[in-house]
Amino acid sequence: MSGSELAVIKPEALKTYIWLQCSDGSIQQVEEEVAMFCPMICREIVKNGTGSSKNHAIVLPERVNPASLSLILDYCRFHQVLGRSNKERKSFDEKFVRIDYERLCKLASAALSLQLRPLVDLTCGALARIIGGKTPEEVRDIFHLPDDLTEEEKLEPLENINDDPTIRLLNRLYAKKRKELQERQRRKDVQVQEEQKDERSLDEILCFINGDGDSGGGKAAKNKKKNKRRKDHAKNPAKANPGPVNEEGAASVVPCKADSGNISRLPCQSPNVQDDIEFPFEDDDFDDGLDPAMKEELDREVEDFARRLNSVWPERMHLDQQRRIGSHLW
Amino acid sequence: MATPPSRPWAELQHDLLVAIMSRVGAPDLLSGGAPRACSSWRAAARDPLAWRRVDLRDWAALTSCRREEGPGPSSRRLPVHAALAGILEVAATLSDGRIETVLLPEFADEEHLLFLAERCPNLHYFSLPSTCMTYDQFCKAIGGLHSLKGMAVDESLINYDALHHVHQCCPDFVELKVSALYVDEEMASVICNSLPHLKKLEIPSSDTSSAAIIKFLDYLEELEYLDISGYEISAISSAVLEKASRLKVFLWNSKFELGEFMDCSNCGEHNVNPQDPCKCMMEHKVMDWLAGPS
Repeated sequence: MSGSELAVIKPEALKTYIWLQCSDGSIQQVEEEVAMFCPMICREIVKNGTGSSKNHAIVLPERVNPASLSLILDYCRFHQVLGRSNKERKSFDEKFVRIDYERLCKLASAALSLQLRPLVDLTCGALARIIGGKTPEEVRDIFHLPDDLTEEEKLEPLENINDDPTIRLLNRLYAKKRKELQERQRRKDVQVQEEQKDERSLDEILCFINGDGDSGGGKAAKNKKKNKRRKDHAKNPAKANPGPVNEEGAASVVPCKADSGNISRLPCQSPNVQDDIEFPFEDDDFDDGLDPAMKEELDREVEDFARRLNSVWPERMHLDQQRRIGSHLW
Repeated sequence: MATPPSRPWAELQHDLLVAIMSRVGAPDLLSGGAPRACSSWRAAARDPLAWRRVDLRDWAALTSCRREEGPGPSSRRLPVHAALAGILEVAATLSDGRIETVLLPEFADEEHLLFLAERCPNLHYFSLPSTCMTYDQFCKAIGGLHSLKGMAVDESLINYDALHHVHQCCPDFVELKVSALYVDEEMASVICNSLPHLKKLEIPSSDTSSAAIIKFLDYLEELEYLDISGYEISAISSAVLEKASRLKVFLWNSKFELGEFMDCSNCGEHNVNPQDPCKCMMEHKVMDWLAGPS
């Protein structure tokens, strides 16, 4: 426990040695060229002049324990020799990391604190390979980790984050479709209105504006509905939209990008998708002035798509039908 | 000296965990076991430093990982472009916009690149294998990537305007990798004229003409690293070797030296290295020799 020095005396007096002190106070002696392979130690020697004697040993970072230091010096000793072939080095490295996980972790930790980049790559790479492809239980087993995640954290993490942008994407496509249908409807309405304009009394117009929020109707009604929808949307983002949106969005995307697994080299861009991605999606664009007729038309169209997709995604269809029955989409 | 009690491994320092996570592939980071093992590992997996390099080329691995999970929402059935967009969104969010390298799968297109330009303005390197990119979208994306140092693209993007645009928008641009079947002197000229400050050029697994190689070596004065390995037909002359001697790194192994083999035309046996003749040829030679001089 006290600073017991483990100085090993080497017979060759011609070599220069560097003294390194570990966190536990123990001191190791190593040939200078080996120590210089580690940039941090090299800097200490060159800039601060430390390490040349036992009393002026270079103090290493806390995470470098004697066992790890030995391994690190072995690594440096091998690799600082210039003549070795890439094959030799690779072979050495492969054998070098074939140690038990605990020692490997300590070694990686020490390498990291010494900023010995090639060894960090080697050890952390080996650890990453061990982890890859394993389930959480297996990883906990190997590394003796506590099982301290909440159920939600275990199931969720990134799957949910994943959904939002894709749902947003599909929402955009659907919104665009709705806008188009709305445009068409408005044009129809305008024509109708123009014919009737002269006949209406002021009262009638006022009623119309303040009234039931039919399509082409007043702002107030529109805003009411918009706010309501916003609240609903905020409350149940996942619930509110996926149903028809999936078919709609997917439908406009799918015909071009046929098999999800097939990596196609053909230019296959749906113009709808293209436009939508470019422009940032504004929630303000949602216009709720849909009259029932329009809603029906939309629903019909969605069902159409749904039927067409039925053969491809039967499972999903079933789910979405269920959702649509019970949901207030807007 | 008593051995200090070994610390529970969960107390592996955060920076070490992040160093490990940054070397775990995207499939595992997104939906594998490590981020879900325990709280400190989860935190490490969500650290921006773990997301500096994102390799999404193995799309099969990315999707198969997610399929293994429990009943999730319909994300599995999404068309690939949307799914990729989703993954990029996750990566951009977790990396705090500090992604440095993104390697995209084959079907990635302008939208994805534009997304990256928007959300990851500090991008240093991207790989975009698409063969049907439209130039103006590409240029638009490049316009947002001022920190770009290098890219890997298909030969269809090698034209003067696109590359010159890169040169103008990205002052630090020094590295180019091209996926092409053949590289002739004309393409070499385009590259040399539009990107005169290239330091690293990689054209692996393509047949580059001798004139093209010499053009690169002559015109790219700052070139340090040239990789034209993996070719079938050698165009390496002694002139090339001489000029290339100034380079720090010059990779010019043929694809056969790199381990690719072909069938023997005589006996049809596979796994023949054209540098060494097939065994059947040897047998013929022995027979001929035994037959004696005619």
